[in-house]
Amino acid sequence: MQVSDKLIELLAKLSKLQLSDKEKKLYAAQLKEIIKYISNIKSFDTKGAKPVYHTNISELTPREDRQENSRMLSKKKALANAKRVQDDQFVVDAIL
Amino acid sequence: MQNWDLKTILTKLDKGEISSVELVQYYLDRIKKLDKKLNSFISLRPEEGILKEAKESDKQRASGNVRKLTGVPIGLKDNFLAEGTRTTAASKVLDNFIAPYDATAVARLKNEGAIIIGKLNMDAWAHGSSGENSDYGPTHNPWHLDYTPGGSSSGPATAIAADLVPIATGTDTGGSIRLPAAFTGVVGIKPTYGRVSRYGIVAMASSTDSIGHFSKTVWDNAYILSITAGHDKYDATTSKVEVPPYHELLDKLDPRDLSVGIVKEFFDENIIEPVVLAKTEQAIKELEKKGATIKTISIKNIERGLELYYILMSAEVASNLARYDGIRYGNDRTYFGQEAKRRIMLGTYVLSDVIPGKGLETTYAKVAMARGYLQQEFKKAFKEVDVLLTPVSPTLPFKLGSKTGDPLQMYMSDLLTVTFSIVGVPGLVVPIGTATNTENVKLPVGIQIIGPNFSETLLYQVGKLLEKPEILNEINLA
Repeated sequence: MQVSDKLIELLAKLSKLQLSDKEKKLYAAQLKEIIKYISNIKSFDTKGAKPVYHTNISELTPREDRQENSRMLSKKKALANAKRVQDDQFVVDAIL
Repeated sequence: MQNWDLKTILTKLDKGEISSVELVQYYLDRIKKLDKKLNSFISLRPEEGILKEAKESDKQRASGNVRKLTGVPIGLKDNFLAEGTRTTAASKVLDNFIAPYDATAVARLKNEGAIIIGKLNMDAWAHGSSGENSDYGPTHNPWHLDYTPGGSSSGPATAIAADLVPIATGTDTGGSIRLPAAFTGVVGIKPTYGRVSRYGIVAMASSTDSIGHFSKTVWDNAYILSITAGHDKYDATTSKVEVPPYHELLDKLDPRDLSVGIVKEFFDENIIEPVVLAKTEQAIKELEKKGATIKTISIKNIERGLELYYILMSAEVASNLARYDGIRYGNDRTYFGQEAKRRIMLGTYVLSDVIPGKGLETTYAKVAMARGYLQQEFKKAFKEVDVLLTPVSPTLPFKLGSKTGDPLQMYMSDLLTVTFSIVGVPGLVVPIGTATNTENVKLPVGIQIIGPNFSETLLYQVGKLLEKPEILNEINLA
């Protein structure tokens, strides 16, 4: 697998990361080596196996989907860590 | 007071031989004196608040209101949310984040009267095997300051070994409790996946994230797990399997009833450093002398866990870290460090289907198949034997800076721990002695005990037979 500059740029874009030219070069070299290593999985014979995404799926017990007042953050607490707040609301950049 | 384990502390508090105020002051003084060189804490809570809680605990004790941890100081890895504490996960992305609520594990410890001293250093986002990926500087191994204490729970393990707190929490996604426990000579448990709630703990790779603890002894560790384990409605993966009083069952195992599996793939002298191998084999012999049956077994493909892990972990990391946009809390994505960016990029590669020339073979789906295969192999193994014993790391603790330039080489430190994380089974690490490296530096060696799901009682029982907590007295930090 060739890790081209174009691929690094695509991955950075999909990852919402801004990389410097130096980082792009470094990651291209390192990802090439890591992808080569993880590609060994191709030879892993999984014949007869069933896929496992979660190790104790039989135990999953979702809670009821309803509001819990005891766990609700106050407006003040919920906004306390935000950098930009206006009229008790989070400020985000325009997306349109 | 130095190197008291939790059991000793609880007895002395009970008998009134020491107060919680004196105890807390002892640790605060030690932190002030030693942590400049160790760097195990990222944040300490204000001393005034800590001492106030200690005074309150002493009053409660005097009035007969005694809970399991009344007045006992603890440290939290900095990815645990504790209301009002700065919680960075060692990343500048969360540099100014103040936790608005308690993680379930933290709430349970506080409900039993524990006093939080501070938040402990780690690799940022728990990504790493040496603590060197922390945005707040590396932690130094108390056995020798030039060496890594292991990661990602570098701070918690160091704080226990250096006697800066008697108990600390940790997280283990691929080895992040077990490796630093071995590298510092303390006891560390990675419980079964789903045994302890992950609610309120910064997520790394959600399908293997496990919450555990560090302590000086097996008894201490068992005592703490009996408090934090159990179903939590805020984490759907937590199990309803009953939580036994682990610490009360430690002596209930007759070693003659125990069969131990030695996984031959993990005793390969081509991958394990000779001194580590020798020490591990010696511990196994001691167990055999006590009556245990030792059996060499093979688990096909067990050594390939690392390649599976780096596919599934990076995919889950990329997904989990996508939420950090700096809008509701924290800083924006330009604050991510090198390792986080590397893992996000790799995970995005694994998850993406728009990459030309990328085969389906390295996708998450293929890993799921391999994971299913390994689970079957483990089921077979645990029909033959009760527990597995393996080394924890292929090497003794290595020097800080020696692997930071080569991420793949660093990832290899997790070779002997990740496969068990993928399968979900619990693992306990206990100190079994010390060894001297080629530079004549004395360093600790641990052993890894693995059992089937929810076999923590058995792991602690076996750990009790193997542990040598007295090695911590050989640390010289003066």
